[in-house]
Amino acid sequence: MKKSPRAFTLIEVMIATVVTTMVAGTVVALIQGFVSALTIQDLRSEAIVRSAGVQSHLGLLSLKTRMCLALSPQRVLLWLPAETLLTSGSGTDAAFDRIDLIEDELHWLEFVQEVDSTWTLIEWTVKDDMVAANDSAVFTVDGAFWDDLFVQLNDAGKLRRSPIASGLAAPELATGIIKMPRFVWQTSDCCQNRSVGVEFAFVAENGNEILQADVRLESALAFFDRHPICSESGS
Amino acid sequence: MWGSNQLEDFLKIFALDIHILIGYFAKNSVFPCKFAFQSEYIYVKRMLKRAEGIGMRRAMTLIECMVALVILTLSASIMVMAVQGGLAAQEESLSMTLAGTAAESRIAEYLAKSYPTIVVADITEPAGTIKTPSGENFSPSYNKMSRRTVVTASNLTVPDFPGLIVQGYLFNVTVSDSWQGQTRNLVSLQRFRPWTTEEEGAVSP
Repeated sequence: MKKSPRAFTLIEVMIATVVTTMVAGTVVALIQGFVSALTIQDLRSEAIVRSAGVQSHLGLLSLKTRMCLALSPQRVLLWLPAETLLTSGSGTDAAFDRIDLIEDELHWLEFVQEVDSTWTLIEWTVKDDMVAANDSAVFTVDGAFWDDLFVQLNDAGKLRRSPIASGLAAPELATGIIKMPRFVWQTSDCCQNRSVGVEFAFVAENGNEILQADVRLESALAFFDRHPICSESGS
Repeated sequence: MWGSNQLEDFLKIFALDIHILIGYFAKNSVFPCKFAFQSEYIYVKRMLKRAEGIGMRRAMTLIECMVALVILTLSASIMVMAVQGGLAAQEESLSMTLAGTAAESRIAEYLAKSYPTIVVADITEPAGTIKTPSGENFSPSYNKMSRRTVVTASNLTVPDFPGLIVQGYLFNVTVSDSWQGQTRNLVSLQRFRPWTTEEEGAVSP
């Protein structure tokens, strides 16, 4: 006759339960640690990759930009003339004074707040298939004029929206937390300004802890070109 | 009260759960983790085979349980070390990225200046005091970084064009922080700004 197996005693079961609980507790703590570490890694990876992306984009634009035509904390307008320095001559050339909308000469950079309260850095350019070949604007350093043009073109659906970086937040500055990401520049006088930059932050929640990485990127306008109209306007 | 078979089954299932959990985390991990995972797998398999031997259902001994726990602990420790190593490396990468932006900011400041206003200089900003071109402090993310800017008058020569000498300034910007009591250079950028005819201000584009 087969011998029936002996049952465990209460002590044995209790010890087994305690050991099991301890091991399970350790595993849970380990998993929590992993999740926390992965959250931090995510934030850092995002900060590194997106910063590099924004920096390269800004660097490329600043390399081609000859002047900033409008500067405000949430929107700047970069002028990338289609004419080369050779063809623009002494600046008296009429073509140099005219900004052809079809020639992709205007690039607006804008921080836009999304529904989830995060910010997206967007580049707006004119859709060449939506404007007539002779649509143009006369060169001016009047920021209000360019803001009006932006609104008009945007309302008419003539601007192409290209997101550069999304999920951005307001940076924390030494003077306190500003409410939104912003553009920075050397001087607000477009005729003198030779650099443009951005300040933003990456934020992630890790339990009750908030992880934040602030980034400030700046780029000099390598081929700054002071348009003759600046001298005429006294700037 | 549970019989020995039920408890043994429970322990087997629990061991397999742990084994699956370790396998999940070890899947994309480094080699030592996979090795530890394989060791644990072989050990658990051997235990199960022994327990399910012909005509015999033997419980695991205390020594076997302890060995399993030690293997589990070792595997977990290796994985934690791997994650910690990854975190440290990533923190350093982020520091270097931010240091790069701080150095680039200084370079942009000097490139944006009017040429005649540039002077030879050797400026060191201690940790927590580095400033933006507009004079504001950088955000707390940059607090551990110090920055040194060296501006020297320099002539650029081009090997392929003997006799061509371009006058200008050389900017050296080094951003460093303190790591384990030592100063660690995070980023070092160098840029040359040539003197051009436009700098005289008399020539239009």
